[in-house]
Amino acid sequence: MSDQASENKEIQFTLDGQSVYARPGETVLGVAKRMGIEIPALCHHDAVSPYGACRLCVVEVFWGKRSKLVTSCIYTPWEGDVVETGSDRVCRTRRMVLSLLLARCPEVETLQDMAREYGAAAPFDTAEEDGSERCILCGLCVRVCDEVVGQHAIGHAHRGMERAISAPFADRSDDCIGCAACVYICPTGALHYEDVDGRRTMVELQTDVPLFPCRVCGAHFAPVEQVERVRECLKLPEALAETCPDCRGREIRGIMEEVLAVPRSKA
Amino acid sequence: MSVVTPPETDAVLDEVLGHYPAEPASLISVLQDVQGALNYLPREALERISSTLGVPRNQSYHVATFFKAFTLEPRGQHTIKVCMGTACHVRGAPRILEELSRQLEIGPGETSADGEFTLETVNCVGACALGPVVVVDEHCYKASPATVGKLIANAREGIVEGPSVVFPEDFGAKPCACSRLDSGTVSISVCGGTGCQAYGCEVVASAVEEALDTLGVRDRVAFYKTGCHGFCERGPIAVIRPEHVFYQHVRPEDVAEIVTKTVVGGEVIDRLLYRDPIEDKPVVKESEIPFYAGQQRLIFGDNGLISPDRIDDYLKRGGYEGLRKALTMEPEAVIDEVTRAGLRGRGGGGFLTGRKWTSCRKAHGEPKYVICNADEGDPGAYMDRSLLEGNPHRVLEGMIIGAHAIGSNEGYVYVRDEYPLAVKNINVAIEQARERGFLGENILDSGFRFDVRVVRGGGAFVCGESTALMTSLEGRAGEPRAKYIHTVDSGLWGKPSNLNNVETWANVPLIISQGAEQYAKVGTDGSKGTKIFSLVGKIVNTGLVEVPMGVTLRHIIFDIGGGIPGGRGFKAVQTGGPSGGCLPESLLDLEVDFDELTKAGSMMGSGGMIVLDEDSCMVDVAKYFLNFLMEESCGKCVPCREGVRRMHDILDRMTKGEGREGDIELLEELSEAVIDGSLCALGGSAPNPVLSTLRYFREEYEAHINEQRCPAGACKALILYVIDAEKCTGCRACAKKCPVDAITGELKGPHEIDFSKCIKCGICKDTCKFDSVIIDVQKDAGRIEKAVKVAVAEKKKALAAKPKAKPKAKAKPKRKPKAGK
Repeated sequence: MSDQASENKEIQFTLDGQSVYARPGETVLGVAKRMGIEIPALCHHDAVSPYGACRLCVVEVFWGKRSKLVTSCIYTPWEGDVVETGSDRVCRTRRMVLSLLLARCPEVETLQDMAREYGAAAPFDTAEEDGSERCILCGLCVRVCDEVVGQHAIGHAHRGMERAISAPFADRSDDCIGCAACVYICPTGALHYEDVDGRRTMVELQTDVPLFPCRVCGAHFAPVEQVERVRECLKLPEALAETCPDCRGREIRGIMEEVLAVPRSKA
Repeated sequence: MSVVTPPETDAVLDEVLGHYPAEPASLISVLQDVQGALNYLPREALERISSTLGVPRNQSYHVATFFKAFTLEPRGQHTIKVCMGTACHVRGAPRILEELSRQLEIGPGETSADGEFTLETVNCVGACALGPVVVVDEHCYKASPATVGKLIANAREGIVEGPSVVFPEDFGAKPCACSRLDSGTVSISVCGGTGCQAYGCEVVASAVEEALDTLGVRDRVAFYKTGCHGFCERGPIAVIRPEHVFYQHVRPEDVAEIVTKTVVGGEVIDRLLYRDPIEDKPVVKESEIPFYAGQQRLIFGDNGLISPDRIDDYLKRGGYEGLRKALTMEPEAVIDEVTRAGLRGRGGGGFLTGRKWTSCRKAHGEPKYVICNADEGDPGAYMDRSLLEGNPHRVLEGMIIGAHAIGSNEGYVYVRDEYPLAVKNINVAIEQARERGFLGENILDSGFRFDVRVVRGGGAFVCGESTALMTSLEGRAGEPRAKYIHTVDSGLWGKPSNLNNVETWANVPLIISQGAEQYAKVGTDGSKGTKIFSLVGKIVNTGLVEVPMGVTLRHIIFDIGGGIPGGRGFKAVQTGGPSGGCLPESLLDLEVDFDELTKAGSMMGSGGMIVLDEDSCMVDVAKYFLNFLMEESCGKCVPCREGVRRMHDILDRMTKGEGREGDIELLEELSEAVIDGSLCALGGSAPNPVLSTLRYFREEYEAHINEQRCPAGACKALILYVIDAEKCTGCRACAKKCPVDAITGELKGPHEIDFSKCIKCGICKDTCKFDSVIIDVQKDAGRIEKAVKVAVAEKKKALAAKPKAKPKAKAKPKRKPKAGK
């Protein structure tokens, strides 16, 4: 593996006809993004480790007459690879993957839009399914909770067709701090939260945690535990951590205005 | 957070957790032991295990729900597992499951309301030659829908069905003439493989020991309780040497006679011999039985000659000589030998073993791991089980040689938990090898250090995939990852790891001890050596068969296997397990090796060979494999999880007569996307059973779609059981056995089946000795019903006309008319 991008040198390869280079460890998806070439992906997010589950980001790599589909969010190119991001074979696979996802989650708009783009329909019998499923099992919520938040409050369960996203024991999770990172990262709107009367409920995870009232305006702005975690992680002064973003913004603006009020010539 | 656990759970946890290092890698082993002790995993146990081993709860919950071995709900007092392996499937396992489900009033995976029974399915217990089998608690039984009631009743009473030792009263009273024993070469071996165990070999073996003791000749006759001999169909098996007299279907009551007459007296007992079906004469010697005569048992042969728990037996057969030689060679020279021998991986893909070893030796990173994949998940294949059970030292020796060649000091054997005897025997072998200095520090004074740990799998087919297996070894759910970086570079814990399967490792000592040139004389250009196949399904001689690469399917199926039972016609042979395909009669002369099978649209896989006859429906077989894969897919990537499910749905509709135009094309389109788009080899090969049956048996698909007809008469929704009034003798046997009283008729008069009551369990057809129960087409039920009424009336009239007619000469059973004709 002397000439692969994971070693410490740049790799020259061809992407959609252009000669490009990959930085050490950079994936084809990463290079494409940098070059402004769009590759669809639903289970990828720069904040978490790659996973390779949705299979939408497949691209075709040619070595002479041979070619193969690879997962661009994982695949780091080799010197001389010729990569096509929109070949017929790629489009056929994406179309079928979208058909399959649409059959599972017919209501999800993101999928409907992508399916339209690729001409995907779902020619399957779905009469016995109620059509309300929104989760495509991309695992972003699990990875963000594991890798970014570090709470491990949500995970995978079962296997095969039974596979599901679930809190441990399919019960209210003791580890969830209600930060809702999973809700923000979910690409299909399968997870939700509600803030009511000073408490946050994570609808699917059944978490119910108190919210922190802003020390300035008194509005509940984030779960108590999240506020504490953020203060610990960022070593913020209490006053700043316990102030809601709006008030924090006003306070900072106030300070900035004072700073800016000082005549420039003095600086 | 404090967790309150009941005292019993606590005691079990203290004990189990004390056995393993407190690290995440111990998770699966700990869960297995706790599940074993408590019969389920209580939440509080899982919580405590998580915190002790430092595994996040979301991960341990995933593991506990991912593997089939674990349950979070208490199981019933008795667990009844129906084997759903391919061999069992084609011999009627679904009918047994339905009957059990009907009688117990629970579905698979459920526990009866009184907490007495849990009904489960298991994807192959490796007793394929006996199929269909049912495992009640720990005991394996050959079953049929008609015996289900008795199995349940016995389990309820705690009766373990099996033979018991019977000796004649005067046995051993008279002293015997034992001059024959003076030669010191007389021995008797009883097969102790899993197949024979289900037939009660344990009792036979202890009877032999007792008989030898009673006659006072124990010290002059070598006794072996060996591993599997391969001819599982004929178990229990006993072989008496030096003459190699082969006795089959030995019962405990035969033992006294065998010991007195054959062992001591040298006399052959005709009744216990194998009979050649063609010439109808007894065959005395093992090697003259066609099943064995057609084989070349280089790897498997020693199984019948050693007790797997005695290392000295193995040493006497030249065991560990290969290792001794390898340790005098440079590691590169060992790899070179394996490369020149042309050994290819026996587990599936057939990758060149020498090349894999080279990559792993060259890979950067320490430590390096050597892994034996004994997670034999292919339903219908059980050669790895038999090797580990019957000759564990051979596998171990291969691993030690490999470790020396690659430069590894740590090894793992990842073995299916469904194979308790294999787990036991490999553990015993490891202990013995340590004692004799074949494992541990400074092996055979060479300065080389290597040791092996056994890890039990949690019951997931996907863990046979190398990356999933390694993930599982690390204590996580067995999900594969993309293999753009090979496991030889970054495998277990990100370190270079070399994984080979059991049979591959078992080939290594032979290559080293006899040399690459000699080894490579056997086989074809591209595939060297022999291959062990599990020849099962609709075949006369079921069992394990070892043949040189390149022999024809015809040789294996007809010369060794003895063809199809009951005069039925051959239809197809399924090779390669769920990733393989079905090959038709026109390919019977195909020379079996890695490349030829792949060219024909199937694959070698681990060597399952399931023979299908004209009663097997190819659409149903394809559906069976998709159903298997749907359960066994890890569910991570979309094409495999969603695609296989949709393909299964389409086939399911077809087998119910709801197929539509365009279904075949949709299946082909889905197949392409699943093959191209899946993350790992499980998904990448999942459509093969569909594609190969479409390639060779397209007309069967078309009959299901266009005519709502199952040409094989196998798809339940499309068939009707009908009694041919003409042939029916009125013996009432079927009526008595029918579990839903759907059969009516008077003694000696024609009988009929009430279609509205019939549950199509098929017991009537199994029971009828006159072939009068036939399978017809459901779609034509109306017409058939009228025709039956007419035929019954005519038969009654005819019977009334000659009331005292002399009994008819026994009609020779004719071949059953084909469904739909």
